[in-house]
Amino acid sequence: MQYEELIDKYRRGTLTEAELEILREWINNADADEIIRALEIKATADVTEPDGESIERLRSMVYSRIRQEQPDSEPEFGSSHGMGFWKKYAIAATMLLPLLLVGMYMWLGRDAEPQYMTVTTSGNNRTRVLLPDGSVAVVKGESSLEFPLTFSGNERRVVLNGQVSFSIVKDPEHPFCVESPYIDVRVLGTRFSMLARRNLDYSEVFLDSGKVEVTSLLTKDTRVLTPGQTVTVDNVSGAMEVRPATLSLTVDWFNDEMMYRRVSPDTLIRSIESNYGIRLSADVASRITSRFSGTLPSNDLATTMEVLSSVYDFDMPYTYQDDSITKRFCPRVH
Amino acid sequence: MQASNQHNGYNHKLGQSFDEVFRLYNRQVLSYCMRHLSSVEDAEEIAQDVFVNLWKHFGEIKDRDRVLPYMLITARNLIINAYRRRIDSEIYADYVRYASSFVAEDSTSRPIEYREFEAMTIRAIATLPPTQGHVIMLSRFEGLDNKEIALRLNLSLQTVKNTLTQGLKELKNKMRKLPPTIFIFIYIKHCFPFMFNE
Repeated sequence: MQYEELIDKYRRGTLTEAELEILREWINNADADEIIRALEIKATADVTEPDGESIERLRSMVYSRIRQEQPDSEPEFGSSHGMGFWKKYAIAATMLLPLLLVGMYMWLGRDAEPQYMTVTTSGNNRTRVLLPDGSVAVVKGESSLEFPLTFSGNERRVVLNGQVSFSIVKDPEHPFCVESPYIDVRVLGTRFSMLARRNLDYSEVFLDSGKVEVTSLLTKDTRVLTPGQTVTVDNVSGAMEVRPATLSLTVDWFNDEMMYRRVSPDTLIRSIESNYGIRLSADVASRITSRFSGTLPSNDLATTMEVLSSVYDFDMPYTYQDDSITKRFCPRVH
Repeated sequence: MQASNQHNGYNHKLGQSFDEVFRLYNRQVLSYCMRHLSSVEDAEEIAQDVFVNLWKHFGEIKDRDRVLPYMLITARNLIINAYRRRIDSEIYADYVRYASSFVAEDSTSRPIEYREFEAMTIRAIATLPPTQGHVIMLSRFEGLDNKEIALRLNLSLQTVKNTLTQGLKELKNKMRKLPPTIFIFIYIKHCFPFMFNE
């Protein structure tokens, strides 16, 4: 029979492209019984007798899978729904739990490829993560950072969607690479911050010390940053622009610091408000009249207000109204 | 699930427990699978699926005589699906192109086997960023078109196209870096005029 021969060639890997076409047509349209007949292996008898080990393996796999079965989920097996199909290739994934700080994303290849870990933060939460090579990442607010449990291969590669500050251990043999939705960042040993979020229309990398190379994934353009520089990438066009970070606000989550270089009053106020989730009362805000340069803590509102009150000469506020949405700082009324 | 599906491992109509059924028929099911699949691993995996499926539907079976035929039909369908999935897959087509255009350097060199080809490809895909890898798997191994992938992964169609193009380029580069004695040709279909969201 013709199809048995084709199946035989399939098994031996000697099909031609034309024969593959014929086989495809047949296996998608022929009757199931006919197909299974053609698939039967006509070989020696010892092929078809299962041995004790086989049966034991079968037993333990069946029962362990049954134990895992959720009683109320839809029956699916060997199918390609959701993550189920990865199992076919011995690749499994578990779902990320949205508001937890830490999630597990396991990716197992046939020969035990690196397992990955994903750290997810939400809201204003911040998580300090120790990476496998001793580097530190501080992941902030609505972000996720994925990294292998061990760095192997030529590169140390992590995947980011969101905002993070890195302090990377120097290892010139193994460049550290951050992949994000629109840009790739490649570093040797350095401290830098970056913002690269999927649905935002720009991405940004600020270099504190060391050296980084940023690639726009859309244009394949690359820029090398020197310390103090920021590169802004338009996520829609892929265009890159490097500028010294002089007029900008940079938030260094690694040190819990916000660094201001000649920022306008408006920028200063907005940055404090958005960082702490508060509104500064009009009385305080109206005292901030000149550009600000300096460093403020990013996690200590009281100290921030102390610094500002001495810089802008208003009395340190000592009362605040705490409601569930905002805290207001009011200057003392004389 | 309906009430009749709750069985706790015992089916009253049959007067049998799942465990008994397993002991009675495991050899036959496994043997059936081995007769149609060239590798013992594949046969064991399909046999597993058959019994797990039986567990899920154990409460529905009403008649002892139906148990084995039910399992063998399940096995038949799973076996056919396994062949079909591979024969339909783009990766397999790539393999056929590779193997049929393989030029032997000497009498002992041969194209690598499909399993190894597939394993290499998967290993290369696993080094891609998760979304790219996921999109490529869905496209090349599962044969989904870009629209279906976009739906499955909750991405825009354009994102899928870009991701796929990029991922395949990456993959091509990675595959090229494999040992020189093995030449892999990945054919990028023109029909891209298309992860686990992270």
